[in-house]
Amino acid sequence: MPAAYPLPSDLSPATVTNTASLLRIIALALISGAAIASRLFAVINFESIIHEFDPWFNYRATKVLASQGFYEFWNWFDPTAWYPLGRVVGGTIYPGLMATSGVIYNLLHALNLPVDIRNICVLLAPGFSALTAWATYMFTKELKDESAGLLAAAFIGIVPGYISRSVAGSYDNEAIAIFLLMFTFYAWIKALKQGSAFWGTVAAVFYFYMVAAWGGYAFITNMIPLHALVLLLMGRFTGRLYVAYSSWYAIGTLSSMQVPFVGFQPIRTSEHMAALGVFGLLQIVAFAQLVRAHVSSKQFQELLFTAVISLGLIGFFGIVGLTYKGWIAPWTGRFYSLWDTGYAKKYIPIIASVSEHQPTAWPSFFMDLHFLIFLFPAGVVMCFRTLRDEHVFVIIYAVVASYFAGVMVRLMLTLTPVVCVSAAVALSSLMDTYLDPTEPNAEDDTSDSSSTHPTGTTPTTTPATPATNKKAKKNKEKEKEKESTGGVLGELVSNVASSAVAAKSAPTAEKGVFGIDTRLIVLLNSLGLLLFFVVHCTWATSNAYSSPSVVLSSTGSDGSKNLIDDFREAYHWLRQNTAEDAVVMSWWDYGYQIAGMADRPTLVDNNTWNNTHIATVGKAMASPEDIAYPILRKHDVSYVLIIFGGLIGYSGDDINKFLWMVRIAQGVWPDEIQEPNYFNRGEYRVDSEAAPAMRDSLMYKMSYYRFAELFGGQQPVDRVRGQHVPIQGPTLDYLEEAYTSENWIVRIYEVKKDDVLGRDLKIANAFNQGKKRKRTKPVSRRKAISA
Amino acid sequence: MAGPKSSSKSSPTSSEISVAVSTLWKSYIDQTPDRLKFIDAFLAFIVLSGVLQFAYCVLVTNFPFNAFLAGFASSVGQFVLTASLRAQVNPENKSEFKEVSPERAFADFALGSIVLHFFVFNFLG
Amino acid sequence: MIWQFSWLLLAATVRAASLSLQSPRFTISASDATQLRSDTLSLTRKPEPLTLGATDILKLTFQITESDEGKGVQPHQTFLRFYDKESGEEGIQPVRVTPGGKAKFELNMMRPPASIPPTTHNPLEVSLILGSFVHAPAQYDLFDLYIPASQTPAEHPDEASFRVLPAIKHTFRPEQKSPPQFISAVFAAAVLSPWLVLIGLWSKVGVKVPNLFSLSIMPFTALLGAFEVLLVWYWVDLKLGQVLLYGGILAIPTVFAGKQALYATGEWRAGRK
Repeated sequence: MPAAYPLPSDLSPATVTNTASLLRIIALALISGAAIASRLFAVINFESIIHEFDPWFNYRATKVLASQGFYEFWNWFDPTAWYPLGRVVGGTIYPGLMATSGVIYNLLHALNLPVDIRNICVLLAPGFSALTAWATYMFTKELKDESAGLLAAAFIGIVPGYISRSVAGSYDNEAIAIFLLMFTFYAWIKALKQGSAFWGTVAAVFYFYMVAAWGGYAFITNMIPLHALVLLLMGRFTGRLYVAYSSWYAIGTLSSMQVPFVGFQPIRTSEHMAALGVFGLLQIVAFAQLVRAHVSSKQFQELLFTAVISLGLIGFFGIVGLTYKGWIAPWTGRFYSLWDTGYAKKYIPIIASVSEHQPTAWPSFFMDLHFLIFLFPAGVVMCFRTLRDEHVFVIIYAVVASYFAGVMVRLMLTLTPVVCVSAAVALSSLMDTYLDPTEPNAEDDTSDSSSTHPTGTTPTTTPATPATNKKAKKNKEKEKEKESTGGVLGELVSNVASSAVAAKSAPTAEKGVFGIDTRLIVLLNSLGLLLFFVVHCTWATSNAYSSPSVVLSSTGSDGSKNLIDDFREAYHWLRQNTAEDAVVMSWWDYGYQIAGMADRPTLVDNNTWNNTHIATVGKAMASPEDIAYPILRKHDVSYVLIIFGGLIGYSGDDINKFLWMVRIAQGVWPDEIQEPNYFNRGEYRVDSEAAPAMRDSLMYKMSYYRFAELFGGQQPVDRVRGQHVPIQGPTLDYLEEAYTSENWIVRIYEVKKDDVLGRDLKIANAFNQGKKRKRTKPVSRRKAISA
Repeated sequence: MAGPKSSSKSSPTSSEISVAVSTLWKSYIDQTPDRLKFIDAFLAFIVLSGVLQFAYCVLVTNFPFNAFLAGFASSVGQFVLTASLRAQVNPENKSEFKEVSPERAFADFALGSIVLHFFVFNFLG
Repeated sequence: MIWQFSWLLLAATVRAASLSLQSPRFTISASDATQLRSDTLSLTRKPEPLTLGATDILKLTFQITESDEGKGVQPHQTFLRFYDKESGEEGIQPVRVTPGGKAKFELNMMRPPASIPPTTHNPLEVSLILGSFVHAPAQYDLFDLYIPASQTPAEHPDEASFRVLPAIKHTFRPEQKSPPQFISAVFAAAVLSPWLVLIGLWSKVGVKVPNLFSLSIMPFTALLGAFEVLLVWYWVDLKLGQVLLYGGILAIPTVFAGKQALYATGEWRAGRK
């Protein structure tokens, strides 16, 4: 047997197996380490702090859970959110994340490790990313082999598309959800392969965990039935499918209804109907199979005919009846926006206003996935070549997730695992082919070579792991095995790494790679790609995805780092200087942060459940002062908080979000707020050309109040919009500036109380400035009867 | 999967079908091992109690809806778990379930049932 | 503090000299100057209510003096207050007083001043309010006055936002009721009846469980039973955390017993074949 490079031949099979598994464990440990370490950039560059917006709420809820116990948390009513409505927190969240950290917290404290709950929250996402890498390894192992599994684990460990949601401090549902997603899929594949109710139950339990953790559980709810349905249509119905699906669905659906936020949805809403339908279909098919085993085919056909007609009628009337009685709820808006990307913008501006819900720009595919995006289609094609049940799953997953990732930025997250898996399959197949030491024997006749020269196999772990020493024995083993199993291309090969090429070995035996130089060229190339991938991931993680967005950083001209801590400065000011029940109005983006850091009641927050309430805030911001003032007073608002980036060029400020406020307000008060009024000849301007409605709006006035004073008589410049703001800035009558942070990012205004003399605040202000009041004649209350 | 359920499936539209059903029934009685019949009896029991619960929900009230769901879901869940057990221990399906011996199947069944019952009791309120 | 006390002292000293009203008198005349009614006003007892026609003129004269010396004084503030007790509407009309304390007020119903409140069917109570820095303030109820009807008062612009709102009535979904005991019992019996069917079918099939009570099977069955008991207990009493804890503890022996039991069964099966 010709070999491209020499192999040691004095190793026992046991040694090879043990070494391989040891190497795998080490590799997995290193991958976990890398996954965790690369997510710590945020902690190293900044500090151990909760990031962004939603995590602040999760953190606050976790603190309640940790300090007051589970049942208190379950019944928690938060009167400070959505003032004056309040929020039933226990029934409107996915508690999985908080419960997880609560359990970890209690566990550590039971072990006498007094770890702060904040550190648990900060480090939860990196910890779970290691688990995700492991789950992806297991999943890919089912698909191809261990080496592909290790590659996939390494990919998912450091791919930016996943890191973007799981850096340290990004304490969000997605942090644990991706692990649950991958593990549920793994358990499902395992259940399907073995036909085991055990794995079906495991899948159901993890599905339950997923339902408790993330609203994206609907993805699993529809992926698994879709897979089952496709298998059914491909004529691949087996008892295994029945066992796996039925046990998963029966337990999973019941358990998912335990989550209060989900409630009876799994049997009421259309999103869940597909799973129910496939469940029913499988029962019927299974029953039909049983009947067929007992009767002749002629009779079976007759029975089938009657059964199909009667079942069809029953099903039809059933669905009509249920819809008529209103039992099946219609689709929700977020769901529509998945199919029609323009839908949300037209009907639900509040969904469209979230940047995560925008369609994905194509560069971000490369940014988040780097070269995996090129290998991804190759991997899917490899799946088509083998096409066992689990490969069908990956293909469906790939198609569905690609579509969704194109529709919404945040769904990139669900695409990332399948990209990693199929890229790993593709790359590992490439490696298998080019690391394989056997050279094809061109002179041999094909029948001979197919039985004696299987294109061997390569237990590559990672490209960096030297695996050459095991080749020879592997091949011997392989040959023996081939003889014993009679050339059957076993689906499950117990030996460590030999399953890889088993499926495709026989037909490609006469093809192969000659010489060491060709191998080196290809391998060095892919090694280079991998290295660039690592470099890219490190760069993207440290630069793009590690910012907590609560603390900003800027780099000075000399390369020095400058932290901008305006948010915490302002929230701390609120916490220290205002009454504990002072209501703070801000745009909903900052609701959770105000509640979390300043501990003050807010009108609206990131849990955007009440569109009217948000529109009220939008209207107050978009209206002139005298219209906004009664709104503020009616809602007991004491302070108004806005974000203004014009001074240092922070582009995520409220003036840039202002149009969404206008749009959302317009949705509720179309007569009072109209978007075109805020444009000057179709341009959104803040300078002297700004539209009158814009200039009068509370938001504009609060943003640019006293802005010009900073420039000492020069023409003030808004660095975000790049426009010159009028020197004569706006004046405020009904509000007064209470606090402005160091870099002017956060500005807080106090709403004035009623004038003590009962005057209108505008008149009172004019009086204070020494303006003469216009005399008005008092109007008589008495009107004579004219007739 | 549910053998005895077949008797209720007959629709007396033509004699051929009733013949087919009786053949089916006969062949079932003759060919099925006792162990499977034992399981089938349990399946019939579950179907019957599930149908009765559903009838109660439709005819009388669905008032403690979670309790009804818990009861009904326990019927459905137990049914599919038992049907899975039946499929796995059926000697005819041996080629399909290579990795699942009848004992393993029973262990799976026991685990699945306990998890199912946990959620049922949790849901019962 | 001392400053405040000094003010109080001052107020106490001036209280001694108070204001009084001399010869208050009213005259009602028609538009053609014919006198309809004229009288002096008693400060202790109100006269018969006065009635003004749509074109009548009311004249009121009085002099304000210091009660001690009887010298006429000009108070700092002199108002006539028109007050409708029923509707709560009121009008305040300043009155000009000469330095000698004499005052004259004329109310022409052809051109009523802006301060006259809208009329209802009640009389307006007219009172005189005197304010002074050096004398004690005084208020005299003069008379009741009927003036011609006017339109009902317009709603105050703030009326819409400042008024008592009707109490919010929450409508709840009616409490769902359990059906009558009898029906429940019947259906409970019906739902339990399949057990009979089950037992009947099993006895017909007649499966023997020869090894149920053998040493290797028994613990497993017992532990499975224990699990079910635990779950029922959970329904009745336990909390989630406890169930998970006990279940976890129970799981360990169950796994071992199950392995043992199923291994034994597997042996029997293999032996039988």
